[in-house]
Amino acid sequence: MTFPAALKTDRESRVGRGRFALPAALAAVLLASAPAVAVAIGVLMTQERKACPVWWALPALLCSALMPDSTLALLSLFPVLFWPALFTREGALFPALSSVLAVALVWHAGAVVPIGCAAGLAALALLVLGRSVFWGISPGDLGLVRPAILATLLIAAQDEGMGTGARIALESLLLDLTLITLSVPVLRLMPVLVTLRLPFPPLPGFLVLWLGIHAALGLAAGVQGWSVIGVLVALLIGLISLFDVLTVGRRPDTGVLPIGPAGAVCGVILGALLLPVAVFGVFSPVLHHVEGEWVWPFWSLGGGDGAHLKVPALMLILSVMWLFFVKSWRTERGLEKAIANLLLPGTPTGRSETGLFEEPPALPWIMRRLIVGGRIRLQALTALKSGQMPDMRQMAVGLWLVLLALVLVVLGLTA
Amino acid sequence: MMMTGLWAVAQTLFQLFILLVLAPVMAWALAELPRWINGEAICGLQRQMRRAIRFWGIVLKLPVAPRLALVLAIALLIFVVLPAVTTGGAFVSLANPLLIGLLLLAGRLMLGVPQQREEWRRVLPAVLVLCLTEALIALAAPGADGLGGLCAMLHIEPAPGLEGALGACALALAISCPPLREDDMIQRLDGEKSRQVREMSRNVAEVLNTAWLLLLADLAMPITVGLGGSDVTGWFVGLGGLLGRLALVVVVLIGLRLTAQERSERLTALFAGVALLLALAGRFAT
Repeated sequence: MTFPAALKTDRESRVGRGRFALPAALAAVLLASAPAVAVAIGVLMTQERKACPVWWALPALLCSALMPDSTLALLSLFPVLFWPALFTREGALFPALSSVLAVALVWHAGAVVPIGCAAGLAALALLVLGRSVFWGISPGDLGLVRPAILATLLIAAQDEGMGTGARIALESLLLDLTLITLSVPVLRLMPVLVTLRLPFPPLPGFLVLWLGIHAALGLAAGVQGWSVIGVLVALLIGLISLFDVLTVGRRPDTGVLPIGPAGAVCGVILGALLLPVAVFGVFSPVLHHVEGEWVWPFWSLGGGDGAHLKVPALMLILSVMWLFFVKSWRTERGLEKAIANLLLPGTPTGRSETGLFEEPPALPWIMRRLIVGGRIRLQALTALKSGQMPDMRQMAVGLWLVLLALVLVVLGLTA
Repeated sequence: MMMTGLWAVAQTLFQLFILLVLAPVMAWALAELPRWINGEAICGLQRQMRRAIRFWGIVLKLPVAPRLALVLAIALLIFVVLPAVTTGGAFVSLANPLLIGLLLLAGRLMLGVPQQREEWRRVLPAVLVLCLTEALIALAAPGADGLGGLCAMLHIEPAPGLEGALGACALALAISCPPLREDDMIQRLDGEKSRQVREMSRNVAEVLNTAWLLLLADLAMPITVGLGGSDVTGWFVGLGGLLGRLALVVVVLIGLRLTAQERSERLTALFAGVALLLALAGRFAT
């Protein structure tokens, strides 16, 4: 029970947000079983700024404790976990913790149905997206949901006995979790490094996206029931990466570490090159445990289906060309100046300027008419109780069409 | 072994040279042909060529501004990496569609100071369509390593469903994110005083546009890459294929522009859906 104590101290020390909680959570992932994770979620709930409403959280926690093998109980826990990060305006206190706990939940869950789990997570993400688009609210950090999706892919691949697919999913999952956990202290020390989460090619965020897509598509190509939902999960991973572009890195202010612009760019480049190597190196026993070969992917990252990603080679060619064009040897300290010039204040990341979520979208008139018509019909339906029959004549054609569609569906299913 | 390596490097260099020559032609066609169809008087190709030659002279002699140099390096990297003429180039194995596409979009965002709102509305759907493309390739042709592997694989084992799906993806990309035009560049270089920098940025934008066109062409018709084997005649056949593909893409882009269908989210979504359906149908048919 070090976990509640760690959270408690962490909340009281105002500076080191996430300093104690993260090791405790990692320990929970590695050691604990499902009930311990449920307890941890309960403690997390009490410590957050704005937790999930109790009428949802309490039954969900009870259900998950009573029926650890049920997929629905597992799914009902995800809103509890991600509520502070996704549904509140000011974000979570412990954003990384919720995704670590989600991964632990999926990993320790007993006999869940991976397809149902993936579909539920996709529905959750789409719900959040739809809410933020139609209500004109900027979304929370949706990238926190991605590790849970990747963990689902991992257990699905393991259930089907696809070692390579499981390995790809695990690589992506580990890299993503590391990025998310690191982004908490990095925001305080050196905020530029948060750009490592962006899905543009040399950065590790791109590796997560690429590996995630290939893990999902490996399932879609190899397993019978996953054809459609695998493609959908791949697209969802892409969509979440897009929202990473919008939400990550909107704070270009200086951190604690005293570094100039050249140092910042160098840090980003070094992080992009070294972070995947370090992550795969450190976690290579885990990777080896999932799939039986010792590989340390540095030059070429396999996608499990024959595709390979050779980012370092590409970066080498790119940097040689760039140096040739910049001709930094002509001037004194030219390289430093050139690197510093790469980071202009006009770097286009930032949510406030994109204006995508400032106003709800202007729906076309036909949609608005549909919505208003639906509302009127709903009111008419509620008026049924008071004994007034609604005007059914206008709905007759639609009713017949729905009936026809139902008959066709039944025929198609029985044929 | 030595000879094959040298032949691969030579092919890559030839490809780079040809694409660099084609870049001003493409820019001329994209800018002037719609006006020509409208019946206006247009200026000839010589002016554009002279501008390009002057630009490359400056680039080879003087240092370029770092951000501009990065964009230019990205465009040239894509010229080197994509399988344009044959699949035998030295760096073809690096050509992953998602990687290449995202690099190009990042370069596009780094050029000048883009209008945030407009630019995001173009780039974000394009990123999603690129993810879809990568997913469809992984789904319908497992075992293909990037675009080069896909082109080589389509000759051995034809996959009509995948080809149709990739064509629809290319069309969706062309609709959602058309190449940069003169007025785009004017907007981006709004605060820039120096005439020289403006001129350089325009030329870099032309090279970047050609790289985007090449990606679209490769996605739309991967079957025409490396049609005639890997010797010298095969190389010339591949060159013909490249010219044909690029001409087709230019015609489609001009058509989209003249009918005012570009940058429409609905059409993008429609063609992305068509691509998904085609690929799934092709997969279930086999």
